Amino acid sequence: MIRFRCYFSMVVGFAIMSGSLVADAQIKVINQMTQPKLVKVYGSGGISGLHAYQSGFFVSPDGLIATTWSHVLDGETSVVTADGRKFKTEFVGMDPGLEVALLKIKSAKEACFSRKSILKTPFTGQQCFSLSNLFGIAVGDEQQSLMRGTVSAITKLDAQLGKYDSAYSGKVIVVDLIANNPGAAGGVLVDAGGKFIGMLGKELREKNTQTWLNYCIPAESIFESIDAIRSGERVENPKTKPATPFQLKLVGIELVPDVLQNTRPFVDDVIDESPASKQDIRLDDLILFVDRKPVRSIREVNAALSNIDRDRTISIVLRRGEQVLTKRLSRLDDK
Amino acid sequence: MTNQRQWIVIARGLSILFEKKRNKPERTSVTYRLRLEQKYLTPALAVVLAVISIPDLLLAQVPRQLAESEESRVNVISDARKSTVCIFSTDGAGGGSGVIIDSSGYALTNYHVADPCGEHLHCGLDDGQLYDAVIVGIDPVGDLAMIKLLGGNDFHAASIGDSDLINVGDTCYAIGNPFLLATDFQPTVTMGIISGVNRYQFPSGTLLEYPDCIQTDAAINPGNSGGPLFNASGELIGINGRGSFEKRGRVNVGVGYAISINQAMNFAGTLRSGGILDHASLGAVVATASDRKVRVIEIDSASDAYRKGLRYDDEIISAAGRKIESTNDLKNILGTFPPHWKIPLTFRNEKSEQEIVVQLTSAHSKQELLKKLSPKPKAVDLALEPRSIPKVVLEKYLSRRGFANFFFHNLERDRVLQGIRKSVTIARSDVSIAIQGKTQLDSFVAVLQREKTGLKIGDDAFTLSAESALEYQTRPKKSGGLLNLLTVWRSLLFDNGKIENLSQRNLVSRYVGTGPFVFAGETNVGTKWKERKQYDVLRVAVDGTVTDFFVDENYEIVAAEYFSFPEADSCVVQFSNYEFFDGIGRLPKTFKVIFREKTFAEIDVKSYLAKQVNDGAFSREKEGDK
Repeated sequence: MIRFRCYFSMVVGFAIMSGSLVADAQIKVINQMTQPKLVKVYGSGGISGLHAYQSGFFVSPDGLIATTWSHVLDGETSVVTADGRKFKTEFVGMDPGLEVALLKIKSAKEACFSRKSILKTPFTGQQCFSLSNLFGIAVGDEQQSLMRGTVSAITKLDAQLGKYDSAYSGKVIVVDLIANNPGAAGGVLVDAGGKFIGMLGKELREKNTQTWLNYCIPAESIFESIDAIRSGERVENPKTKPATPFQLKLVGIELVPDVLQNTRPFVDDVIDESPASKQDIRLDDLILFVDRKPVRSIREVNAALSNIDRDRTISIVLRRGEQVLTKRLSRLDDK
Repeated sequence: MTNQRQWIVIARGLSILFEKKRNKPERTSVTYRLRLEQKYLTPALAVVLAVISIPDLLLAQVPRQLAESEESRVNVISDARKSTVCIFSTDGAGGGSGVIIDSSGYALTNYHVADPCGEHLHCGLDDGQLYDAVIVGIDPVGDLAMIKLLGGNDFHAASIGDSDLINVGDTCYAIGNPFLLATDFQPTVTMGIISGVNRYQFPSGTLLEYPDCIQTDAAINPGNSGGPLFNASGELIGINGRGSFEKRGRVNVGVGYAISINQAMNFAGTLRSGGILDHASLGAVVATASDRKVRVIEIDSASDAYRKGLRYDDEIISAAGRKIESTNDLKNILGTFPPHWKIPLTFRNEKSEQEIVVQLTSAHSKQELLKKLSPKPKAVDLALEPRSIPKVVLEKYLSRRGFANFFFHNLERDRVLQGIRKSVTIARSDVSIAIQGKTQLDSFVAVLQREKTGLKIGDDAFTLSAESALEYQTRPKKSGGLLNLLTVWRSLLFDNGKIENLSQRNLVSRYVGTGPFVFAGETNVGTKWKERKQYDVLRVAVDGTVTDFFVDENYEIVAAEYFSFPEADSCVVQFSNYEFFDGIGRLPKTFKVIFREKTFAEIDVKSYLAKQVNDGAFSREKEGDK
């Protein structure tokens, strides 16, 4: 038995090996196994260059759909499944950090991605395939577009602080294929075995070079986010703000007076023995991110905080001279 | 080195396993621990090592496979490059790509590439030579154009693939002249996969519609337009022509579209007619209903579809052998055929399911089409640019309204006319032809001569005199106009293009292009459609009548279709069993006459007799028979 297991594991090893050279026939299989898990998402937009479509995928057999949180979901949203069925959706919740939104349709048996279908260890140089309804090319039961490329880098988006206008600043998988086109957000990146590598994010353009980033958010983070939304832990429907929002003075931070339209959020004072001072936040630190959301002014800091309950722990990213620091703050640390 | 060590450890792990089987250990605490180790740790170790060693093994194995696949790729591409054309406009301002599909130099490109170049183009090939080329025909709606490279007769033509057989995920190569880089005429090769098939792309701006096209992530940039898309074995599967760009500027964003080669080949024969082609319409508008069925929501009562029974609210099931499940499906199919084609169509109404063969119509009127073309193909102005266009091009260019290049129309028409006439040995207008045979039930006699056409089936006799107009004549009854069809047929074969016996009226013949010959009277229309063959179509107009002749590669007329007026139900005659008749030529032994999908008569010819009318003997002889 043990020997068998041993041989088996070696056979599997060889199978993985040969899988790295992907033949046309295999790509066809990847396409066929992935298409039924995808949906085309339609909603708001369609004016002044805003597309009214994006992509999504099933994450449970009973019709839970993950997609990107964007303007498309602002109003009534409908989805069309791979076989052409059309549904109105119910908004379940969203995670402002990852900009993942969950939608639900009334269905019983859908092919879906699950935690089991995650590729645990994507690596740089790996062949990958994106499937999305970029440019809204496919309609009805037409297949979404398949593209091939390679994982170019696995890195953190906030490595280039402030260069991208994105709420997300965690790990990203950068690819060499031009995956992130209009409408591609919410599409999937899979490997040669059809394993789920990540969800294609929104279009991001580097502010200095004007180049577009092609990336996806790792599958692990997506599923963490999905679980959090489902359990109600991170159900932050942006339309409802907490009754008792977070305030910086609760953790002992005083910002400079807000005198301009875009006053930069510099720390003006830190109260002794406060959670902020315990975290070594100092005078003249500049706040860059609040809970992974970039903030350029005091107004934006306040707006970001108004969505967070006072009892939660927040993370802020600071700049001190040339240094960039991440701090976690909670008013409850006081006690 | 690490590699070796790994293998040694694996081998040790394995030897422990074998060892363990032989000596069953007692259950002491030490052996128990050892057992645990063997049970769980050793396989775990093996797995870990196997995984660790994968990259090393890969290095040992990949190069061979890679080398093989790379070698085959290099070979395929170096062959495919030879048929790729790098097009430059003569003023050097623009250009694009093309692909040679015929060794005599006919090449396909995009309309939007050829049009700004005018009638004369410069074409660079992989061999480093620059050739002059002339415009042949254009299809502004389908964004196709045919050009002909001059100064050679053994060009390397691409081998044509079947774009219906490609799958999403297939490897493909785009070869061409992106950003007009190929100033040394060496085309650029990009590789990708098929991202989508049967895509429908709306007309962008004016006319250009991309139905049933291929989507690829192979880089397609400006200048790739008109160039070939090849499959992994180097067969031509598409003509690259368009991309989705939007806000990212006119550079590749991973979404390029190619016109399917099957569509291009449906039009290729017709493009050689030198014409400005239109696309087809069914004469009906469909929409996807709430029950996801495709239904007719509007129908033109003058359309052939209506005549054949298609009505409002009928459900379209299939067209041209393909299932229709959405409006796009039908658009995809209609967009790939020239308007003079007929396609099988299956529809369902409350009563039954019916299969018809429907004659498509033009999507635009001729005027509308010409108006939308802008800029119009430049006319050759000899006075202004005496030296700019070389003689070889001028020799092959003839301007005429409604045509891209009338020279090629004449070339094709004369080729077919001469081919047909070669089959008869006495091409003289004063010859009189007597045909004797029988139908299934009756005797059959036809006398075709300059003064009149006579026809006798059983006891019914019909004559058409030279003076009477052909229009609206459909005798014998229920044949749709067999008498007139035979008159035109005789004239085409023997009269050198003139119906002299019919009051000196000119018989106007026009080369329409190529098309299949299918009609609903046949059994297994579907199979016949699949195995369809394209014939040269020669259209002969006399008075208000139109007769289309379908001519095969041996210049035998396989069928003729006569319309007593343009919207009339036609008389179809299928000619078959060609044989050589002494003193007259190769002529058909069987005539199958069909009207409204029903066989009117199947004529078995026993003999052809040719006599010169002025000796009078033949006429008297015939009269004596009566």
